[in-house]
Amino acid sequence: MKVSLVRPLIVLLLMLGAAALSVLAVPTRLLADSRPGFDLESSIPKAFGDWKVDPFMIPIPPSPDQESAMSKIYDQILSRTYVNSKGERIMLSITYGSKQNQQMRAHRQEVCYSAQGFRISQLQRLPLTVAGATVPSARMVATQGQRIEPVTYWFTMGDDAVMSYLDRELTQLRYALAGKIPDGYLVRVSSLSSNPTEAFEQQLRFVDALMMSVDPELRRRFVGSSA
Amino acid sequence: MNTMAGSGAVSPTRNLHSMLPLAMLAFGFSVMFGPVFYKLAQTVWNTDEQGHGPIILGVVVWLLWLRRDALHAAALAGQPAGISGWVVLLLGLLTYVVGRIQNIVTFEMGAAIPLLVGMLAVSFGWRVVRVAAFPIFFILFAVPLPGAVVDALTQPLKQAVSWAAEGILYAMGYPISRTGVILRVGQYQLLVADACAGLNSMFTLEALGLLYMNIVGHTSKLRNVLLAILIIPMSFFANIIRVMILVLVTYHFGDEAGQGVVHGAAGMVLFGVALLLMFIIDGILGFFFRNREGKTA
Repeated sequence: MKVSLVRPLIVLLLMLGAAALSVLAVPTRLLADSRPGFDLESSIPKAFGDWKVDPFMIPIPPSPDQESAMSKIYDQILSRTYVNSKGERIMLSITYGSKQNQQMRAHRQEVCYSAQGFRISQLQRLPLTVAGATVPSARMVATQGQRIEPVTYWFTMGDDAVMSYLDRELTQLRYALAGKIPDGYLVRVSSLSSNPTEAFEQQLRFVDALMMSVDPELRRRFVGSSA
Repeated sequence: MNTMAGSGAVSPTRNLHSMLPLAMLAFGFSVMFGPVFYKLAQTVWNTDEQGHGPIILGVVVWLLWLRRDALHAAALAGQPAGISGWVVLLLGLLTYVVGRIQNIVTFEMGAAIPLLVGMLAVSFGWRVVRVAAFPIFFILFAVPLPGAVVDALTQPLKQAVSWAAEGILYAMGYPISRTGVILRVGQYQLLVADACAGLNSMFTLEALGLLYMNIVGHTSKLRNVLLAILIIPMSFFANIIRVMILVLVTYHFGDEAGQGVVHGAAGMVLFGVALLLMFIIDGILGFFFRNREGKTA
Protein backbone atom coordinates (compact mmCIF):
# COMPACT_ATOMS: atom_id res chain seq x y z
CA MET A 1 0.00 0.00 0.00
CA LYS A 2 2.45 2.61 -1.07
CA VAL A 3 1.63 5.38 -3.49
CA SER A 4 4.64 7.66 -3.60
CA LEU A 5 4.14 11.08 -2.04
CA VAL A 6 7.10 12.67 -3.81
CA ARG A 7 5.47 13.07 -7.19
CA PRO A 8 2.15 14.49 -5.97
CA LEU A 9 4.18 16.91 -3.86
CA ILE A 10 6.18 18.12 -6.88
CA VAL A 11 2.93 18.46 -8.87
CA LEU A 12 1.36 20.41 -6.00
CA LEU A 13 4.29 22.80 -5.85
CA LEU A 14 4.19 23.32 -9.62
CA MET A 15 0.47 24.06 -9.45
CA LEU A 16 0.88 26.52 -6.61
CA GLY A 17 3.71 28.15 -8.56
CA ALA A 18 1.54 28.55 -11.65
CA ALA A 19 -1.28 30.01 -9.54
CA ALA A 20 1.08 32.49 -7.89
CA LEU A 21 2.68 33.47 -11.20
CA SER A 22 -0.69 34.08 -12.81
CA VAL A 23 -1.81 36.30 -9.94
CA LEU A 24 1.43 38.30 -9.88
CA ALA A 25 1.71 38.72 -13.64
CA VAL A 26 -1.86 39.73 -14.47
CA PRO A 27 -1.82 43.34 -15.59
CA THR A 28 -4.08 45.64 -13.61
CA ARG A 29 -2.84 49.10 -14.52
CA LEU A 30 -4.52 50.79 -17.46
CA LEU A 31 -2.22 52.36 -20.00
CA ALA A 32 -4.97 54.95 -20.37
CA ASP A 33 -4.42 56.12 -16.78
CA SER A 34 -0.76 56.86 -17.38
CA ARG A 35 -1.26 59.51 -20.05
CA PRO A 36 -3.72 62.26 -20.96
CA GLY A 37 -6.94 61.16 -22.63
CA PHE A 38 -8.83 62.82 -25.44
CA ASP A 39 -12.45 63.77 -25.77
CA LEU A 40 -13.31 62.58 -29.25
CA GLU A 41 -16.27 64.91 -29.70
CA SER A 42 -14.10 68.02 -29.23
CA SER A 43 -10.79 66.66 -30.55
CA ILE A 44 -12.04 65.69 -33.99
CA PRO A 45 -12.54 68.87 -36.07
CA LYS A 46 -16.05 69.48 -37.37
CA ALA A 47 -14.56 71.00 -40.51
CA PHE A 48 -11.24 70.41 -42.25
CA GLY A 49 -10.03 70.87 -45.85
CA ASP A 50 -13.06 70.65 -48.09
CA TRP A 51 -15.06 68.65 -45.55
CA LYS A 52 -17.51 69.72 -42.89
CA VAL A 53 -20.04 67.93 -40.72
CA ASP A 54 -23.34 67.52 -42.52
CA PRO A 55 -25.89 68.85 -40.04
CA PHE A 56 -28.80 67.28 -41.91
CA MET A 57 -27.52 63.73 -41.71
CA ILE A 58 -28.09 62.07 -38.39
CA PRO A 59 -26.52 58.62 -38.29
CA ILE A 60 -29.02 55.81 -37.78
CA PRO A 61 -28.62 54.66 -34.16
CA PRO A 62 -27.80 51.00 -33.62
CA SER A 63 -30.48 48.60 -32.40
CA PRO A 64 -30.93 48.41 -28.59
CA ASP A 65 -29.09 45.14 -28.05
CA GLN A 66 -26.30 46.31 -30.33
CA GLU A 67 -26.10 49.50 -28.32
CA SER A 68 -25.85 47.73 -24.97
CA ALA A 69 -23.07 45.53 -26.33
CA MET A 70 -21.27 48.59 -27.70
CA SER A 71 -21.39 50.59 -24.51
CA LYS A 72 -19.81 47.65 -22.69
CA ILE A 73 -16.84 47.59 -25.05
CA TYR A 74 -16.33 51.23 -25.89
CA ASP A 75 -15.90 54.22 -23.58
CA GLN A 76 -16.43 56.80 -26.30
CA ILE A 77 -18.31 56.53 -29.56
CA LEU A 78 -18.22 59.24 -32.19
CA SER A 79 -20.42 58.99 -35.29
CA ARG A 80 -20.53 61.78 -37.86
CA THR A 81 -21.32 62.33 -41.49
CA TYR A 82 -19.14 64.80 -43.39
CA VAL A 83 -20.01 66.43 -46.69
CA ASN A 84 -17.75 68.22 -49.20
CA SER A 85 -18.41 71.04 -51.65
CA LYS A 86 -19.47 68.55 -54.33
CA GLY A 87 -22.12 67.17 -52.00
CA GLU A 88 -20.31 63.84 -51.51
CA ARG A 89 -20.76 62.30 -48.10
CA ILE A 90 -18.49 60.20 -45.92
CA MET A 91 -19.47 58.59 -42.64
CA LEU A 92 -16.90 58.57 -39.87
CA SER A 93 -17.07 56.43 -36.79
CA ILE A 94 -14.37 56.44 -34.12
CA THR A 95 -14.64 54.45 -30.91
CA TYR A 96 -12.35 54.38 -27.94
CA GLY A 97 -12.01 51.58 -25.39
CA SER A 98 -9.72 51.98 -22.40
CA LYS A 99 -9.46 48.23 -21.76
CA GLN A 100 -8.41 46.23 -24.78
CA ASN A 101 -8.22 42.89 -23.03
CA GLN A 102 -9.83 39.80 -24.39
CA GLN A 103 -13.55 40.18 -23.89
CA MET A 104 -13.56 43.92 -24.17
CA ARG A 105 -11.75 44.38 -27.45
CA ALA A 106 -13.07 46.29 -30.40
CA HIS A 107 -14.99 44.06 -32.80
CA ARG A 108 -14.14 43.17 -36.34
CA GLN A 109 -16.39 45.30 -38.47
CA GLU A 110 -17.20 42.57 -41.00
CA VAL A 111 -18.82 40.67 -38.12
CA CYS A 112 -20.78 43.71 -36.92
CA TYR A 113 -22.02 44.54 -40.38
CA SER A 114 -23.11 41.04 -41.23
CA ALA A 115 -24.92 40.86 -37.87
CA GLN A 116 -27.04 43.76 -39.03
CA GLY A 117 -28.04 41.98 -42.19
CA PHE A 118 -25.32 43.26 -44.51
CA ARG A 119 -23.65 40.97 -47.00
CA ILE A 120 -19.88 41.38 -46.91
CA SER A 121 -17.80 41.08 -50.05
CA GLN A 122 -14.32 42.01 -51.26
CA LEU A 123 -12.96 41.90 -47.73
CA GLN A 124 -9.21 42.48 -47.86
CA ARG A 125 -6.49 43.50 -45.49
CA LEU A 126 -3.83 45.87 -46.73
CA PRO A 127 -1.40 48.47 -45.41
CA LEU A 128 -2.58 52.04 -46.07
CA THR A 129 -0.47 55.15 -45.77
CA VAL A 130 -2.32 57.55 -43.49
CA ALA A 131 -0.71 60.77 -42.31
CA GLY A 132 2.70 59.41 -43.27
CA ALA A 133 2.32 56.23 -41.23
CA THR A 134 1.78 52.70 -42.51
CA VAL A 135 -1.47 51.42 -41.05
CA PRO A 136 -2.55 47.78 -41.42
CA SER A 137 -6.18 48.22 -42.42
CA ALA A 138 -9.16 46.36 -43.79
CA ARG A 139 -11.46 47.22 -46.66
CA MET A 140 -14.78 45.61 -47.47
CA VAL A 141 -18.00 46.25 -49.31
CA ALA A 142 -21.16 45.88 -47.21
CA THR A 143 -24.40 45.44 -49.16
CA GLN A 144 -27.98 45.44 -47.95
CA GLY A 145 -30.64 45.63 -50.62
CA GLN A 146 -30.00 48.81 -52.61
CA ARG A 147 -27.46 50.08 -50.12
CA ILE A 148 -23.85 49.51 -51.16
CA GLU A 149 -21.38 50.71 -48.56
CA PRO A 150 -17.61 50.45 -49.07
CA VAL A 151 -15.93 50.50 -45.65
CA THR A 152 -12.33 51.13 -44.55
CA TYR A 153 -11.29 50.51 -40.95
CA TRP A 154 -8.42 49.76 -38.61
CA PHE A 155 -7.76 49.13 -34.92
CA THR A 156 -5.11 50.43 -32.62
CA MET A 157 -3.84 48.96 -29.37
CA GLY A 158 -1.67 51.15 -27.18
CA ASP A 159 0.67 52.84 -29.63
CA ASP A 160 0.27 50.50 -32.58
CA ALA A 161 -2.21 49.77 -35.29
CA VAL A 162 -2.94 46.04 -35.13
CA MET A 163 -4.96 43.98 -37.59
CA SER A 164 -4.37 40.23 -37.44
CA TYR A 165 -5.54 38.14 -34.49
CA LEU A 166 -1.96 37.18 -33.67
CA ASP A 167 -0.80 40.80 -33.84
CA ARG A 168 -3.42 41.84 -31.32
CA GLU A 169 -2.64 38.90 -29.07
CA LEU A 170 1.11 39.58 -29.10
CA THR A 171 0.66 43.31 -28.57
CA GLN A 172 -1.60 42.60 -25.62
CA LEU A 173 0.98 40.17 -24.20
CA ARG A 174 3.75 42.73 -24.65
CA TYR A 175 1.78 45.25 -22.60
CA ALA A 176 0.85 42.58 -20.06
CA LEU A 177 4.52 41.81 -19.45
CA ALA A 178 4.96 45.49 -18.65
CA GLY A 179 2.00 45.16 -16.27
CA LYS A 180 -0.37 47.23 -18.39
CA ILE A 181 -3.69 46.85 -20.14
CA PRO A 182 -3.58 48.79 -23.43
CA ASP A 183 -6.34 51.06 -24.70
CA GLY A 184 -7.41 51.22 -28.30
CA TYR A 185 -9.25 53.04 -31.04
CA LEU A 186 -11.36 51.80 -33.89
CA VAL A 187 -11.36 54.16 -36.87
CA ARG A 188 -13.96 53.47 -39.55
CA VAL A 189 -14.89 55.48 -42.63
CA SER A 190 -17.53 54.49 -45.13
CA SER A 191 -19.59 55.98 -47.91
CA LEU A 192 -22.50 54.96 -50.10
CA SER A 193 -21.16 54.20 -53.55
CA SER A 194 -21.53 51.58 -56.24
CA ASN A 195 -17.93 52.19 -57.29
CA PRO A 196 -15.86 50.75 -54.43
CA THR A 197 -12.47 51.46 -56.04
CA GLU A 198 -13.24 55.16 -56.27
CA ALA A 199 -14.87 55.23 -52.85
CA PHE A 200 -11.86 53.58 -51.19
CA GLU A 201 -9.54 56.16 -52.75
CA GLN A 202 -11.73 59.00 -51.55
CA GLN A 203 -12.00 57.48 -48.05
CA LEU A 204 -8.22 57.27 -47.87
CA ARG A 205 -7.84 60.93 -48.89
CA PHE A 206 -10.53 61.88 -46.37
CA VAL A 207 -9.03 60.04 -43.44
CA ASP A 208 -5.51 61.21 -44.37
CA ALA A 209 -6.66 64.84 -44.33
CA LEU A 210 -8.59 64.28 -41.11
CA MET A 211 -5.57 62.78 -39.34
CA MET A 212 -3.38 65.66 -40.46
CA SER A 213 -5.79 68.08 -38.84
CA VAL A 214 -5.94 66.55 -35.34
CA ASP A 215 -3.57 67.08 -32.42
CA PRO A 216 -0.20 65.37 -33.21
CA GLU A 217 -0.36 63.26 -30.05
CA LEU A 218 -3.86 62.03 -30.85
CA ARG A 219 -2.76 61.42 -34.47
CA ARG A 220 0.09 59.26 -33.20
CA ARG A 221 -2.39 57.18 -31.24
CA PHE A 222 -4.72 56.89 -34.22
CA VAL A 223 -2.21 55.79 -36.83
CA GLY A 224 0.36 54.10 -34.63
CA SER A 225 3.97 54.97 -34.03
CA SER A 226 5.38 53.64 -37.28
CA ALA A 227 5.47 57.13 -38.80
CA MET B 1 7.22 -0.54 -5.27
CA ASN B 2 5.48 -3.45 -6.86
CA THR B 3 4.07 -5.14 -3.80
CA MET B 4 0.48 -4.51 -4.83
CA ALA B 5 0.88 -5.61 -8.45
CA GLY B 6 -0.73 -8.94 -7.78
CA SER B 7 -3.88 -7.62 -6.16
CA GLY B 8 -5.29 -5.36 -8.86
CA ALA B 9 -8.76 -6.18 -7.57
CA VAL B 10 -10.96 -3.57 -5.92
CA SER B 11 -9.71 -2.80 -2.47
CA PRO B 12 -12.37 -1.39 -0.17
CA THR B 13 -9.83 -0.28 2.41
CA ARG B 14 -8.76 3.15 1.31
CA ASN B 15 -6.79 4.35 4.26
CA LEU B 16 -5.66 7.84 4.99
CA HIS B 17 -2.21 7.36 3.53
CA SER B 18 -3.51 6.50 0.09
CA MET B 19 -5.86 9.48 0.16
CA LEU B 20 -3.11 11.98 0.95
CA PRO B 21 -1.70 12.34 -2.59
CA LEU B 22 -5.24 12.80 -3.88
CA ALA B 23 -5.92 15.48 -1.28
CA MET B 24 -2.71 17.30 -2.24
CA LEU B 25 -3.64 17.30 -5.93
CA ALA B 26 -7.19 18.40 -5.18
CA PHE B 27 -5.87 21.26 -3.09
CA GLY B 28 -3.49 22.42 -5.84
CA PHE B 29 -6.24 22.15 -8.41
CA SER B 30 -8.67 24.23 -6.38
CA VAL B 31 -6.06 26.93 -5.73
CA MET B 32 -5.54 27.20 -9.47
CA PHE B 33 -9.11 26.93 -10.65
CA GLY B 34 -11.05 28.51 -7.80
CA PRO B 35 -10.41 31.99 -9.21
CA VAL B 36 -11.19 30.79 -12.73
CA PHE B 37 -14.55 29.33 -11.67
CA TYR B 38 -15.31 32.49 -9.73
CA LYS B 39 -14.59 34.65 -12.75
CA LEU B 40 -16.60 32.41 -15.07
CA ALA B 41 -19.52 32.45 -12.65
CA GLN B 42 -19.50 36.24 -12.83
CA THR B 43 -19.23 36.40 -16.62
CA VAL B 44 -19.70 33.59 -19.12
CA TRP B 45 -21.76 31.25 -16.90
CA ASN B 46 -24.04 34.12 -16.14
CA THR B 47 -25.19 34.39 -19.75
CA ASP B 48 -27.90 32.56 -21.66
CA GLU B 49 -25.37 31.43 -24.21
CA GLN B 50 -22.96 29.44 -22.07
CA GLY B 51 -24.79 29.03 -18.79
CA HIS B 52 -24.41 25.26 -18.81
CA GLY B 53 -20.79 25.29 -17.56
CA PRO B 54 -21.45 24.52 -13.86
CA ILE B 55 -23.81 21.67 -14.76
CA ILE B 56 -21.12 20.11 -16.92
CA LEU B 57 -18.60 20.36 -14.08
CA GLY B 58 -21.11 18.77 -11.72
CA VAL B 59 -21.53 15.89 -14.15
CA VAL B 60 -17.73 15.52 -14.35
CA VAL B 61 -17.51 15.18 -10.58
CA TRP B 62 -20.36 12.69 -10.56
CA LEU B 63 -18.76 10.62 -13.36
CA LEU B 64 -15.48 10.53 -11.43
CA TRP B 65 -17.31 9.48 -8.28
CA LEU B 66 -18.96 6.61 -10.17
CA ARG B 67 -15.50 5.43 -11.17
CA ARG B 68 -13.92 5.76 -7.73
CA ASP B 69 -13.29 2.05 -7.20
CA ALA B 70 -11.90 1.54 -10.69
CA LEU B 71 -9.70 4.61 -10.25
CA HIS B 72 -8.35 3.33 -6.97
CA ALA B 73 -7.64 -0.09 -8.41
CA ALA B 74 -5.88 1.48 -11.41
CA ALA B 75 -3.77 3.63 -9.13
CA LEU B 76 -2.63 0.59 -7.19
CA ALA B 77 -1.95 -1.50 -10.26
CA GLY B 78 -0.25 1.14 -12.39
CA GLN B 79 3.18 2.68 -12.57
CA PRO B 80 3.59 6.48 -12.48
CA ALA B 81 4.19 7.86 -15.95
CA GLY B 82 7.57 8.92 -17.26
CA ILE B 83 8.52 11.96 -19.27
CA SER B 84 5.27 11.96 -21.31
CA GLY B 85 3.21 12.67 -18.20
CA TRP B 86 5.44 15.60 -17.20
CA VAL B 87 5.20 17.07 -20.70
CA VAL B 88 1.41 17.04 -20.59
CA LEU B 89 1.45 18.52 -17.10
CA LEU B 90 3.77 21.36 -18.15
CA LEU B 91 1.61 22.02 -21.20
CA GLY B 92 -1.38 22.41 -18.88
CA LEU B 93 0.52 24.76 -16.56
CA LEU B 94 1.75 26.89 -19.47
CA THR B 95 -1.71 27.13 -21.03
CA TYR B 96 -3.09 28.16 -17.67
CA VAL B 97 -0.53 30.90 -17.03
CA VAL B 98 -0.83 32.37 -20.54
CA GLY B 99 -4.62 32.25 -20.30
CA ARG B 100 -4.64 34.00 -16.94
CA ILE B 101 -2.21 36.73 -17.95
CA GLN B 102 -3.85 37.34 -21.33
CA ASN B 103 -7.36 36.97 -19.95
CA ILE B 104 -8.23 34.26 -22.48
CA VAL B 105 -10.98 32.29 -20.72
CA THR B 106 -10.76 29.48 -23.25
CA PHE B 107 -7.16 28.84 -22.18
CA GLU B 108 -7.83 29.36 -18.47
CA MET B 109 -10.56 26.74 -18.40
CA GLY B 110 -9.18 24.56 -21.20
CA ALA B 111 -5.93 24.14 -19.25
CA ALA B 112 -7.85 21.94 -16.80
CA ILE B 113 -7.82 19.06 -19.30
CA PRO B 114 -4.04 18.66 -19.90
CA LEU B 115 -3.45 19.56 -16.27
CA LEU B 116 -5.68 16.78 -14.93
CA VAL B 117 -4.29 14.27 -17.41
CA GLY B 118 -0.73 15.30 -16.55
CA MET B 119 -1.12 15.29 -12.80
CA LEU B 120 -2.89 11.93 -12.73
CA ALA B 121 -0.33 10.38 -15.08
CA VAL B 122 2.63 11.73 -13.14
CA SER B 123 1.24 10.80 -9.74
CA PHE B 124 -0.56 7.53 -10.42
CA GLY B 125 0.14 6.43 -13.98
CA TRP B 126 -1.57 6.31 -17.37
CA ARG B 127 -3.93 3.55 -16.23
CA VAL B 128 -5.76 6.02 -14.00
CA VAL B 129 -5.92 8.52 -16.84
CA ARG B 130 -7.52 5.87 -19.03
CA VAL B 131 -10.23 5.18 -16.43
CA ALA B 132 -10.84 8.91 -15.97
CA ALA B 133 -10.62 9.67 -19.70
CA PHE B 134 -14.29 10.29 -20.36
CA PRO B 135 -14.97 12.58 -17.38
CA ILE B 136 -11.83 14.59 -18.20
CA PHE B 137 -12.80 14.82 -21.86
CA PHE B 138 -16.26 15.96 -20.78
CA ILE B 139 -14.73 19.12 -19.26
CA LEU B 140 -14.35 20.26 -22.87
CA PHE B 141 -18.03 21.24 -22.83
CA ALA B 142 -17.47 23.58 -19.89
CA VAL B 143 -14.69 25.43 -21.72
CA PRO B 144 -16.00 28.75 -23.05
CA LEU B 145 -15.65 28.89 -26.81
CA PRO B 146 -13.21 31.48 -28.13
CA GLY B 147 -14.97 34.64 -29.29
CA ALA B 148 -13.59 34.34 -32.82
CA VAL B 149 -15.02 30.83 -33.21
CA VAL B 150 -18.37 31.87 -31.75
CA ASP B 151 -18.55 34.84 -34.12
CA ALA B 152 -17.57 32.76 -37.11
CA LEU B 153 -20.19 30.07 -36.40
CA THR B 154 -23.01 32.14 -34.93
CA GLN B 155 -23.62 34.37 -37.94
CA PRO B 156 -24.18 31.67 -40.57
CA LEU B 157 -26.23 29.62 -38.08
CA LYS B 158 -28.46 32.60 -37.30
CA GLN B 159 -28.93 33.30 -40.99
CA ALA B 160 -29.76 29.66 -41.69
CA VAL B 161 -32.21 29.36 -38.78
CA SER B 162 -33.96 32.60 -39.78
CA TRP B 163 -34.05 31.53 -43.41
CA ALA B 164 -35.56 28.12 -42.62
CA ALA B 165 -38.12 29.49 -40.15
CA GLU B 166 -39.18 32.13 -42.67
CA GLY B 167 -39.45 29.59 -45.48
CA ILE B 168 -41.59 27.15 -43.51
CA LEU B 169 -43.91 29.78 -42.05
CA TYR B 170 -44.28 31.46 -45.44
CA ALA B 171 -45.26 28.13 -46.96
CA MET B 172 -47.85 27.79 -44.17
CA GLY B 173 -49.39 31.06 -45.34
CA TYR B 174 -48.16 33.46 -42.66
CA PRO B 175 -47.37 37.08 -43.66
CA ILE B 176 -43.67 36.82 -42.91
CA SER B 177 -40.60 38.44 -44.42
CA ARG B 178 -36.94 38.54 -43.54
CA THR B 179 -33.99 40.94 -43.79
CA GLY B 180 -30.81 39.31 -42.61
CA VAL B 181 -31.70 38.01 -39.18
CA ILE B 182 -34.71 40.28 -38.65
CA LEU B 183 -38.07 38.57 -39.11
CA ARG B 184 -41.22 40.59 -39.74
CA VAL B 185 -44.54 38.90 -39.10
CA GLY B 186 -47.73 40.93 -39.30
CA GLN B 187 -46.98 44.19 -37.51
CA TYR B 188 -44.26 42.63 -35.37
CA GLN B 189 -40.55 42.59 -35.89
CA LEU B 190 -38.32 39.95 -34.28
CA LEU B 191 -34.57 40.02 -34.13
CA VAL B 192 -33.05 36.56 -34.06
CA ALA B 193 -30.52 37.05 -31.26
CA ASP B 194 -27.16 35.33 -30.87
CA ALA B 195 -28.59 32.92 -28.31
CA CYS B 196 -31.17 31.85 -30.88
CA ALA B 197 -28.46 30.78 -33.30
CA GLY B 198 -28.45 27.57 -31.31
CA LEU B 199 -24.68 27.25 -31.26
CA ASN B 200 -24.61 26.71 -27.54
CA SER B 201 -27.68 24.54 -27.41
CA MET B 202 -25.87 22.49 -30.03
CA PHE B 203 -22.92 22.04 -27.70
CA THR B 204 -25.13 21.33 -24.71
CA LEU B 205 -27.04 18.71 -26.68
CA GLU B 206 -23.82 17.20 -27.94
CA ALA B 207 -22.68 16.98 -24.32
CA LEU B 208 -25.96 15.36 -23.26
CA GLY B 209 -25.74 12.97 -26.18
CA LEU B 210 -22.22 11.88 -25.30
CA LEU B 211 -23.20 11.49 -21.69
CA TYR B 212 -26.17 9.36 -22.70
CA MET B 213 -23.96 7.18 -24.91
CA ASN B 214 -21.40 6.82 -22.14
CA ILE B 215 -24.00 5.75 -19.61
CA VAL B 216 -25.86 3.44 -21.99
CA GLY B 217 -22.48 2.05 -23.02
CA HIS B 218 -23.06 0.94 -26.60
CA THR B 219 -20.24 -1.31 -27.65
CA SER B 220 -20.18 -0.24 -31.27
CA LYS B 221 -17.84 2.71 -31.87
CA LEU B 222 -19.43 3.46 -35.24
CA ARG B 223 -22.86 3.71 -33.66
CA ASN B 224 -21.59 6.24 -31.11
CA VAL B 225 -19.81 8.32 -33.74
CA LEU B 226 -22.88 8.31 -36.01
CA LEU B 227 -25.12 9.43 -33.18
CA ALA B 228 -22.67 12.13 -32.14
CA ILE B 229 -22.64 13.50 -35.69
CA LEU B 230 -26.42 13.28 -36.12
CA ILE B 231 -26.94 15.39 -32.98
CA ILE B 232 -25.77 18.45 -34.96
CA PRO B 233 -28.58 18.46 -37.57
CA MET B 234 -31.05 17.40 -34.85
CA SER B 235 -30.32 20.39 -32.68
CA PHE B 236 -30.40 22.66 -35.73
CA PHE B 237 -33.85 21.33 -36.56
CA ALA B 238 -35.01 21.71 -32.96
CA ASN B 239 -33.79 25.28 -33.01
CA ILE B 240 -35.82 26.11 -36.11
CA ILE B 241 -38.86 24.80 -34.27
CA ARG B 242 -38.06 27.05 -31.32
CA VAL B 243 -37.78 30.16 -33.50
CA MET B 244 -41.02 29.21 -35.28
CA ILE B 245 -42.84 28.83 -31.95
CA LEU B 246 -41.65 32.28 -30.90
CA VAL B 247 -42.78 33.82 -34.20
CA LEU B 248 -46.19 32.15 -33.97
CA VAL B 249 -46.73 33.14 -30.33
CA THR B 250 -45.79 36.73 -31.11
CA TYR B 251 -48.07 36.79 -34.14
CA HIS B 252 -51.11 35.32 -32.39
CA PHE B 253 -50.71 36.59 -28.82
CA GLY B 254 -48.59 39.70 -29.13
CA ASP B 255 -45.07 40.91 -28.42
CA GLU B 256 -45.20 40.51 -24.65
CA ALA B 257 -46.23 36.88 -24.80
CA GLY B 258 -43.36 36.15 -27.19
CA GLN B 259 -40.78 37.76 -24.93
CA GLY B 260 -42.08 36.51 -21.57
CA VAL B 261 -42.61 33.08 -20.14
CA VAL B 262 -43.01 31.52 -23.56
CA HIS B 263 -39.48 32.52 -24.50
CA GLY B 264 -38.07 30.38 -21.73
CA ALA B 265 -40.58 27.61 -22.38
CA ALA B 266 -39.58 27.53 -26.05
CA GLY B 267 -36.04 26.79 -24.93
CA MET B 268 -37.37 23.81 -22.99
CA VAL B 269 -39.27 22.67 -26.07
CA LEU B 270 -36.01 22.90 -27.98
CA PHE B 271 -34.36 20.46 -25.61
CA GLY B 272 -37.39 18.23 -25.45
CA VAL B 273 -37.59 17.95 -29.22
CA ALA B 274 -33.86 17.41 -29.61
CA LEU B 275 -33.66 14.74 -26.91
CA LEU B 276 -36.69 12.95 -28.29
CA LEU B 277 -35.11 12.97 -31.73
CA MET B 278 -31.90 11.66 -30.25
CA PHE B 279 -33.62 8.71 -28.59
CA ILE B 280 -35.56 7.93 -31.77
CA ILE B 281 -32.44 8.03 -33.93
CA ASP B 282 -30.49 6.00 -31.41
CA GLY B 283 -33.31 3.48 -31.49
CA ILE B 284 -33.17 3.32 -35.28
CA LEU B 285 -29.37 3.02 -35.22
CA GLY B 286 -29.71 0.27 -32.63
CA PHE B 287 -32.01 -1.63 -34.97
CA PHE B 288 -29.40 -1.57 -37.74
CA PHE B 289 -26.45 -2.34 -35.52
CA ARG B 290 -28.18 -5.22 -33.77
CA ASN B 291 -28.96 -6.72 -37.15
CA ARG B 292 -25.38 -6.37 -38.26
CA GLU B 293 -24.02 -7.76 -35.05
CA GLY B 294 -26.51 -10.60 -35.31
CA LYS B 295 -25.25 -11.52 -38.76
CA THR B 296 -21.60 -11.53 -37.83
CA ALA B 297 -22.17 -13.44 -34.61
